[in-house]
Amino acid sequence: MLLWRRLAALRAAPAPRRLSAAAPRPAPGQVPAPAPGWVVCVPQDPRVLDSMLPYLTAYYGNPHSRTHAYGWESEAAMEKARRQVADLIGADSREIIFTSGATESNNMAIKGVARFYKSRKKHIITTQTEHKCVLDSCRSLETEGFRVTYLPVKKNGLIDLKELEAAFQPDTTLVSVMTVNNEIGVKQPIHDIGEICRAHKVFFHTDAAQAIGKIPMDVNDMKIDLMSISAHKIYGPKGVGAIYVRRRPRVRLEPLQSGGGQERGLRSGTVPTPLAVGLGAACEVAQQEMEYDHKRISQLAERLVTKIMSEVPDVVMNGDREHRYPGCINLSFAYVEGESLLMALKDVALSSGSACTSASLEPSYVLRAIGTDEDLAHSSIRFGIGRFTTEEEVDYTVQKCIQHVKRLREMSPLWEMVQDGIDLKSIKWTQH
Amino acid sequence: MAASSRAQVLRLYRALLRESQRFGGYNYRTYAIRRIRDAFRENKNIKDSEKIEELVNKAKANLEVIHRQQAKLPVQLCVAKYCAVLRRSLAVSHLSNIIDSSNS
Repeated sequence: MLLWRRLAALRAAPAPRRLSAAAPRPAPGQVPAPAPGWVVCVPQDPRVLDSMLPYLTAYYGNPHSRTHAYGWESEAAMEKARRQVADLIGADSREIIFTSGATESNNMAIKGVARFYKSRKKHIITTQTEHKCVLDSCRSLETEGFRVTYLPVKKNGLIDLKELEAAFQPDTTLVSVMTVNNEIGVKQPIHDIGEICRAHKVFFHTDAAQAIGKIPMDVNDMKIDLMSISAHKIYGPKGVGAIYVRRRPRVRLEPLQSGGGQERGLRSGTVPTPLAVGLGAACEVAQQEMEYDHKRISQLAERLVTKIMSEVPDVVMNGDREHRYPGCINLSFAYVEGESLLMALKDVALSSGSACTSASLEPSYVLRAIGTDEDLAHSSIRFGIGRFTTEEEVDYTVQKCIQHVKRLREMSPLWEMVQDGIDLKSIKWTQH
Repeated sequence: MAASSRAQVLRLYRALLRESQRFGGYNYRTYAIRRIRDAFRENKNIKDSEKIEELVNKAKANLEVIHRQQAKLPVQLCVAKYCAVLRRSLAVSHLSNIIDSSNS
């Protein structure tokens, strides 16, 4: 039974998004094999690339060089990008620090805040469904003598605000809850969590990599003190992100990297100008397109889910139906091996073979945390829909998905037993 | 400021669509065409001449972006070309194998 394997795709895993080289080039008007693995990795927007190109060629100065014009050009571009990022989340540009991505931002926020205040405060609250980089940062802090509360989530993937209230201790220094979950797409009540944290005078960090540019975010309105941002989730370049660090009331953190003291001493190392410019442009485009994209992605998601659910029985949608970002859909197909389905859909969905955690046979910890049965957790697949996804791609995916689920169920002895009215839970599987 | 004429706007619309048709990547092409159509439809009833001017300028800037980028983003691999190269290199390695084996 444990040979069942599912897709546990992580944000960090670059999945092959394009059709494979072996696929024939489509004739004009014909739809190529689509790739809706858009949660992990999305193509860059042409508008973003257009803004970056001059800084890869003509303006190559180091933005930290104050002594020559090349440096000034780059610095001006970097500061413009900083403002673009700040505008998207309602922050001041001095509160934005460029990093290499959301993983680094999360590490900085959690380890940085905890270590800075360690003489007085030793407790951190997070949730069980956080991204791996948050959980691992917390684990490493535990070895340094901090205590961490990993809040459970309800069946729908959302945290219980009462449990959060109860988890506070006199020496709690930080609460970290992600805005939109990268695996099941649920949206936590960030506004309420922000209020509670402010009332307890505890810093609130949110990993908003999957949320910014897709749903409206405002750091003042939501009372967020630290926020992690990633560029490649909003059609920007890979390898760049940012962290928002509040100035009033001031949040202080211990830098992870020592060096030249760039980025207000919090993140030493030269800022990659072209990438920062790309992040800024991506933020600006996202701000302009948010409403349009959201409307369209909602339509496509609705189309995908209703079509699959109307054709195939025993499909479960993981995570809350209401409080979610529509572009990330996680479905469990009962009595089907997730891995087999992925293989059958390899020209459409994410490859499970890349660097993501699907290398292990364990089901996803996120699905386990929301109480998904072992067998359903093994048969789940995540669909991502993005700005460039087309109706044809969705329809193709749906059609392939239905076809292969039916085929795999035909072959499955479990499916046969269920049809005969045998309760699978009553079966005793022998161990060998 | 003189408002852009109907003919000018339509010319811009057609130019945008024409330029977008040339995107090599399927997803970029379909997105660009869809987005341009939707934006022009959404704004077709705007009467304020200043607003129209602003939108026209934005469209002009976007036309330039598309013009610059469509040439640079031939994302889909041209498989025919790829196969030809592969065949050639395979043939070469095959030949060299034959030569090697005949030499030894």
